[in-house]
Amino acid sequence: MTDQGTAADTRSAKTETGRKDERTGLLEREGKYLTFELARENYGLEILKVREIIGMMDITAVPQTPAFVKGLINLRGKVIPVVDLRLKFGLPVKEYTERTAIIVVEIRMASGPVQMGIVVDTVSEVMNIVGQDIESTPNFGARLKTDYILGMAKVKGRVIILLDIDRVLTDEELTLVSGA
Amino acid sequence: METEESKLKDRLDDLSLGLVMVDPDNLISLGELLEKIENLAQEIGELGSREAGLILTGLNKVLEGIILEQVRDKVAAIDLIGQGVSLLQDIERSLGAGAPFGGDLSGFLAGLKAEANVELTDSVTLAEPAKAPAERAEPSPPVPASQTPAEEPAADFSQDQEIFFSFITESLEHIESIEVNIVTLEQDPEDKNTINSVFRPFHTIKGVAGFLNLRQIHHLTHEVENLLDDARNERIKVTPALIDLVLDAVDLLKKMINDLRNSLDAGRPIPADYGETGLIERIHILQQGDEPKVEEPVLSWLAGKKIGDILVDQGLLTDDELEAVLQAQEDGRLRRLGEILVERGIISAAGLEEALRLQAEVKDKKLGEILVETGRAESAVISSALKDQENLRERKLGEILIRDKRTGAREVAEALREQKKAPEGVPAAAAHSVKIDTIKLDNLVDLVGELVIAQSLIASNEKIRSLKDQKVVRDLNGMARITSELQRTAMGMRMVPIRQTFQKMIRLVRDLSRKSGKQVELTMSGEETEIDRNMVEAIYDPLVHMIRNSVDHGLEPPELRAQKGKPPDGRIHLRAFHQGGNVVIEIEDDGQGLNMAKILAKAVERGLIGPDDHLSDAAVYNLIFLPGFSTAEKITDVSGRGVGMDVVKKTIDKLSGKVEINSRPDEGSIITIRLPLTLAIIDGIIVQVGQNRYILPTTAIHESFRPQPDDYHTVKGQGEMIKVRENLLPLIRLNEILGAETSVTDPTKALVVVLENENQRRCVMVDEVLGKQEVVIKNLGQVLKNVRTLAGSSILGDGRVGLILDVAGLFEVSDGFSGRSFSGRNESLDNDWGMGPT
Repeated sequence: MTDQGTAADTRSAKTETGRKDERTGLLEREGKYLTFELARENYGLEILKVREIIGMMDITAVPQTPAFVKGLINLRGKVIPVVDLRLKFGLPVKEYTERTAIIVVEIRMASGPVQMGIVVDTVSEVMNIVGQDIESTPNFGARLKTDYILGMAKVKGRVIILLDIDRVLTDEELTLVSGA
Repeated sequence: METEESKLKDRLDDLSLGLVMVDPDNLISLGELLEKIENLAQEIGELGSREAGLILTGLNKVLEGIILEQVRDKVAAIDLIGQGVSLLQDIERSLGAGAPFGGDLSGFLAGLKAEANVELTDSVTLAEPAKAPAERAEPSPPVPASQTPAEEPAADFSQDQEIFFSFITESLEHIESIEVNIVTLEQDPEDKNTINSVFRPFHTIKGVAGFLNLRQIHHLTHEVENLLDDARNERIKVTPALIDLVLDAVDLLKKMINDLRNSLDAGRPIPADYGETGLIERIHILQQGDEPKVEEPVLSWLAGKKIGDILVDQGLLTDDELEAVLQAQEDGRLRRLGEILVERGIISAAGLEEALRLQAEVKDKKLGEILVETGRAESAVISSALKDQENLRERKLGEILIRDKRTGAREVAEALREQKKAPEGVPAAAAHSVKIDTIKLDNLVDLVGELVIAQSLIASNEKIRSLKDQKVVRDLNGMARITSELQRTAMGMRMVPIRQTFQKMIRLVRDLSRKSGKQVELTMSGEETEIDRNMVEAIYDPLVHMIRNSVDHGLEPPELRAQKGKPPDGRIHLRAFHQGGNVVIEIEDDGQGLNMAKILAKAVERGLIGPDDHLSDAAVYNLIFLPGFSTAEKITDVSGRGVGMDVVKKTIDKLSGKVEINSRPDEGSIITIRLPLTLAIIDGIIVQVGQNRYILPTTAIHESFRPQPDDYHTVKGQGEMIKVRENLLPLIRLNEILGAETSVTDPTKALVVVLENENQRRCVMVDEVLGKQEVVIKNLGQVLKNVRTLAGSSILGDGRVGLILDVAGLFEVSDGFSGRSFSGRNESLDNDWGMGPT
């Protein structure tokens, strides 16, 4: 078939390897990501969900919340909750250094958009990741829940785990009623 | 006409879609496109639009040209087809809105000639410059005007959503005023002014809806407007049937507008058909000046076979049975619930006789209920049939049921007319006011709150204090005064009179009184009392529920009232006023009051209290606020399910309010709701525990002191108590409950604050009391809203976040806590979650 403008392209995307369906599926994941480090692994967040990045600041602890909910911070007059991703992912705890940062993201919850902060080891850079470099998440079976991973990107020899930050932060665990 | 139009619309959508996907080299896809155009041509022919026929002929020829390879530039030719389709959609839209097509075909025709060498011999009179194409985004050549079938193509939402949102807001306001005015109209059907005041909002909504191409809304309001126009020109009379009809139309309109809002918010598609045909037929019947015979509307809808379809779908009726039913109807028989049930074989004819006899004896029981009670029909069947009608807005069984007691409702209407009129129908015209986005308002209030804090930070700054300069002090005080004033004004902006909410009750009471067959008079006072804007919406549902309760369980039916020597109309009075920092709302009825014995019995039965417990009268009455409590013997669709009152209490608790009920047998009941005047700012006392600071609301604090060793007692070695004057009060160690480490563990070396909540008092142990501060309460947000010990958060003077403690939650948690070890950190809590490092 001959090429006939943009319409034809999207309809019959041809890649060299011919794995047409998978590729067009992950083309959706293409875009700009903010990458950061956590326990020497690299993660990426969709840039559109990132509101700002701030250095570590005093966090007021909140009682009766899971350990990974560190507490609340004052963000220019707005009080927002902060979650420690290391603890959320079950990674070993680490002391906060001067490189530790809080990424303020805006996620969609049932009640509307909510701003939250996540504590990460270091913030790396904003990357433009093309669809070709993204692969779907391997299935680890029942051991590891991976439905909050959008995909795995391979850039410059590193593997970046692309997170669906909405899923990560709107887990039921987060909104459970606090125990007695 | 309606269905044909929607079919047409579907075909046009289909055509657009086909156009997007067509491959000019693929004969098969071209062929499919051609087929679609030909089908369309047939249907358009039935509508008789000349321009449309012309366009289609052109499209046909172009397509043929492409297929036969007679066309130079295939891409341009496809674009041309796209243009044609857009024009067709415009035509379809105008037809739907009842207006002639005013578009310009010349461009299209020129294109036809240029690209495909097609010359159409029919001369077309060029109308005025096309408005239609300009309304949509300018079609740039490669993009045909296709829209996904899910959207209503008539209204373009991509342009300027703001217009739609303000339309929604304004329409809902109009609808509110319609509802109030129409009840006034019911009482005085001759009053021209009132008719006008109902007519005008419909007219306005119609106009804007037409402009925005909201076809369904436009159509409906247009019909109602015509009806009302006839009424105000005295061509027809305002009858109860007309009032009902308008109210039904209002309900449907509300639904349409809500669906519109959902579609804008969440992209949900708008239903193509609201079943408004039945409604519109009723309108036409009324317009012809016939007071429709009570049964007539039912018949005409039956003719539309909607009921039949439903019954068949429910599997309760086969097609043959349906035929039989319809045949019987044409014989002029009355379709009553009883007869239909007999036909369906659900009850026997004898059973029906008996039930009807019973009904005649006990007039206010519904036929359906009698049938259920005498075991002749399953309540599930009846309620499912009733529910279906409500959902589909069909007036069959339900309407018949109400009509069976038609006399009751008529008497109600007449009685209403005899009484004093309801308060001024038209809401006070907002002569000089502005509409402000509530988000902006809330922002402003937040900022003012922060200003107050910032201002007090400066005032308490050490360096400034040490200046000891008279002028500086004076100026700072001046600033403090102004800031206070500013704060009061900003808070004042958030207040709205409760009148709006009260007026919504007018229609509710009217509907309730008809449904229940009881006569109810609603009066109100204190509508100008202002409450916080955020509370207005929240308080609506509880009010509705409590009024329903009053009508359903409180007020007696007219005969019973007559026996008791009470006036035949039940009275419900809504009252609002300010009292000591609170807004008080009272709902008073003069019905039979609460039955203390029944409540006690039910409570014991449910295990809520022991059989020997002594409760004060007030405590007994307030038992009804517990979950699952209902002394109603039967469940109507209005109330009695036992899920209402506790939800009411929860809602009011959430607003930091209190609700209580009091009653006198046979005299009536009164429900009192107390709400804080303002939610946003509280006076707080800051306490310190270890490194953490917490805020306690001043209103909950009784006193604070350092206990003497003699005052400290233990119970069974576990429960700790402090003697406060003559009372022993339980001690709560904040560090344990809140997980805050502190080195101060000896109560005699710490400070004890006596807190009170709902008549309970506890001692709370803290390291220090730091001071008093006005704090702006910030919501905890979704993530933390379930932490019971916290009421909110705030920003303290030094910029750090302070947690505001919820006294009730504190007490609850500590009650659950007693018995746990007092070992400091709450490791137990972490383990309960089963997460975190193990």
